[in-house]
Amino acid sequence: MSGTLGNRIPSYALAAFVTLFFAYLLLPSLIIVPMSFSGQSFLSFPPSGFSLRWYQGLAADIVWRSAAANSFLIGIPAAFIAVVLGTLSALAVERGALRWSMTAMALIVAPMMLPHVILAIGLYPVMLDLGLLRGYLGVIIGHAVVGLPLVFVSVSAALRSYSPALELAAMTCGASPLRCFLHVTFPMIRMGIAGGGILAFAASFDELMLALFLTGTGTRTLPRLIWEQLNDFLTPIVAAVATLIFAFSLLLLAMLAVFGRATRSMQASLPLASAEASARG
Amino acid sequence: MAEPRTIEAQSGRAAEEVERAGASLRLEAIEKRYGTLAALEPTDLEVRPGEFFGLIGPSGSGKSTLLGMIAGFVPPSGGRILLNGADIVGLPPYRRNLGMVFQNYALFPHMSVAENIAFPLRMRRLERGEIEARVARMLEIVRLAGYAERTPAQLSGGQQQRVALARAASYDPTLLLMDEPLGALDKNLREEMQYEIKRFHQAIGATILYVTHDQDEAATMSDRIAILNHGRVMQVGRPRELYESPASRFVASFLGEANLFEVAAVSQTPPMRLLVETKDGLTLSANQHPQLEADAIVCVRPEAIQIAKNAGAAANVISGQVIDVVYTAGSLRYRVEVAGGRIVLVRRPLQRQSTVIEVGSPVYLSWDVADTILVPNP
Amino acid sequence: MALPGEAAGRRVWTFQRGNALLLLPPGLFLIVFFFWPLLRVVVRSFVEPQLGLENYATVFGAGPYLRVLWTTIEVAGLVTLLCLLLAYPLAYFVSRAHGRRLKLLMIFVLVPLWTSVVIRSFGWMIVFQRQGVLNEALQSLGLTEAPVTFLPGPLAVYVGMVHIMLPFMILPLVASMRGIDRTLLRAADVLGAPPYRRFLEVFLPLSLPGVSAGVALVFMTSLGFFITPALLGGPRMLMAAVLIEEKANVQLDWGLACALATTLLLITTAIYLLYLKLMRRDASLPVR
Repeated sequence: MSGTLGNRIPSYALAAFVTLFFAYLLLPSLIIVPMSFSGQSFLSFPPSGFSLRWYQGLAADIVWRSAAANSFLIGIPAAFIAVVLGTLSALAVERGALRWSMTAMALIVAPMMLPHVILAIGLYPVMLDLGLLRGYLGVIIGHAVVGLPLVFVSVSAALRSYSPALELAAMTCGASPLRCFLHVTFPMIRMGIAGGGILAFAASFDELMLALFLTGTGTRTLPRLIWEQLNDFLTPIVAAVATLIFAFSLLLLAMLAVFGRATRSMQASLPLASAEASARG
Repeated sequence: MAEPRTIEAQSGRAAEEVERAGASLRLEAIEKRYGTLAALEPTDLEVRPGEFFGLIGPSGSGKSTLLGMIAGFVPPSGGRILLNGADIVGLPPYRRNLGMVFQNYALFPHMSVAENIAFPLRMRRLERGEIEARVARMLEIVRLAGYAERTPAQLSGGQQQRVALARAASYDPTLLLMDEPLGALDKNLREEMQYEIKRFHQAIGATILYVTHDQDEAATMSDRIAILNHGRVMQVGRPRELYESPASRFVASFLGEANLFEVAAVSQTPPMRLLVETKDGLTLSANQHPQLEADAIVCVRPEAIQIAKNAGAAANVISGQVIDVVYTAGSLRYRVEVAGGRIVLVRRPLQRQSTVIEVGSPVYLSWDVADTILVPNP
Repeated sequence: MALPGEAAGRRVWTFQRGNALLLLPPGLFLIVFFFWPLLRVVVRSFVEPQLGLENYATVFGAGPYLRVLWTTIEVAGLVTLLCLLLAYPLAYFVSRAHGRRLKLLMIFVLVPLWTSVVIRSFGWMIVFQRQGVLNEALQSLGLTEAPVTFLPGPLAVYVGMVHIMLPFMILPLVASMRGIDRTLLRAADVLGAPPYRRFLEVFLPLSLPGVSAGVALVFMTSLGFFITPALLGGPRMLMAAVLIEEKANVQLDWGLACALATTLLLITTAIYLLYLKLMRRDASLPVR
């Protein structure tokens, strides 16, 4: 647009605002990193001394290691279940010509939208009755419930990115529904599935509320352990954990970006969906 | 394309009235460069007050760039744009007081028809009573009275087009820019809207600059046309002039269909005739041409050629064989192979009593001396 | 879709029918592990410790619980408003970017989004604690003499929550703004609208669908928020999710917890329905 000076001044102000803004957004994440290398045993800023002892302490500490292991032991199966069920529901809604598809979508997405605390106190007695409380399976199921909508949104977007005529064409060529899925549908949506799976895993990895209610001391996840530590004592060891998790989530984000490139329509909905899920924890 | 036909528009205003209402537009050495790429070479153009001026050319010819510079969206790399004598290059778009109709109409979806039309009036801070009166008048002119409260989404393409017209003119701009306004409409609707726009032009008397890639449309509607190619104005003139006296090969082939022959040699024959030998080996008769260069092209319009089984007594006769006949709405289009393997297009009007000459028949093509058009070949 | 032949027609029908059946496993799963637990929460609120409205009487009665609900709504509302005010200019800026610049900006928005909420809240704790970043900065600038107690407190909660919620507001806004037809802005230019009127009369109204979706989203999420208020808020800024967790896990008063949860559920569902209605109207936003 032709710019007179009157148009440009607001532009500079805007740019300054934006820079401050992004500083605000990135501040807490970035603060933790130097803290984790602090030489002191209490959390003060700026950190003095440089030490890797917190990382060494982490590596040695069985409690942290088992919590990390638990997070993976729970996250991966939960993501898997979410992927299977989420993909099925996406196929049903996008290709099933349901009359009440909007309602179905609203219901499928609901676990992502409603506060986890409600689900947590609802699942607690259910898991108690089923005898799954404090074990792995209970929390895996819980995380699968909140991960399902993430996969659903991701795979739905992938399904919507191409015309259903492709599958119909495959069938007129003689492909059975199963072959049609293998040769036409799956190649088109596998990026969406992968992306959704990563999101579901990330959501589980970061999830606190369900973990608080459904895990026991042996199956404690990282978020739960951090939470307990934060309430009791604050040492830079938590900062070290946080830094590692931060690095890990950046890795996940990078992976997601790679998958997301394949289906552009996801890019708006996915990160939003995932972050919402993690925020509810 | 048949010879350009003019729309007999209702005579609404006397000539003097039209002149007063229309702005004069003058482009002096206006150009646009993107780095080393010239979207528009330095161009001079003059549009007379009240004129309906067409801008045509293939994609990338620079016509939209030109319009964008006049509207104010594209800052020119050089030159002046004089609107009623004043240079507007430094002015932002919202101070130029022009009207513009966009290809996709650009109607505000969150406003009703009346609110859309009222928008520019509100920007000029007119009084409410005045605004209402003008909106009503514009709706009358585009014959959409009663649609005031509808939203654009509730209108058909043609109706949206008319609202766009009404909005662009509601504040009596003296220059109206139209950027391929009918591009999105189907053929029948387009012809109807061409008539509407001409009627509109008569009613409001503004100068109209009309960009289109459809040369039939431009020829039908415009008082004068400028043809652009590769960022340069190739020729300016009345549609008929452009058609009958193209100044270059590009213009000859862009406007309508043309049979083009390259000239090998020219010799004079009395009285005042030229004998043209083409590189295909044909010998044609033409009228004396004032500025003939050796490197020229002969253009013969398909509609000017008669096709018959017998040789006639015309000045130009060549023999050939029909290899293809195509029916189009209202005419027959023949492809005739003549000496040297050359294909000549012939177009005859289709009437009920027309006899179709079958494929394979040997025929004679004949045309008048005056229809051998000599075109400089820059 | 018109396919030749009746056999093909039947096949289309079967294909879609078959896909519809795929909804059964996830549907069953969600019924058992999502809707049924929710139902149990609601029922339990009326049944424990005995049948009746006793729990609701406690919630809506003289005690502090109503206040907590009210605080929750208040905080959620204010956070939403702050997010909107901050996010709108930023979203405008991002929506006008193209290509690599756009990708870069989106990364800046997404990175905090992807950092664990627990960790980000922890980061804010470090910022706001007595020997934290803010106090150090204030003292070294000479603005204060002694460390100020920000933690726990409202400033920390708002800063922290707005920080977490901002990307939820930015993303729908950016999506919506990018969907605005640029030709409309040009038309406004030609028609004589100076930049500020062009913004007020054309751009802003057209961005409203994104605004309403973002507002609904942030509000809903803020209502049920746990971690940040728990870590940064303390007893005076008690929010619903924190209270519910305490009642259930610590005090083992499940009946009351369920009553509180049901109330929270009702409020959130109401907003959710509103959100759905808004989504239906704007096709440019990602469908949920």
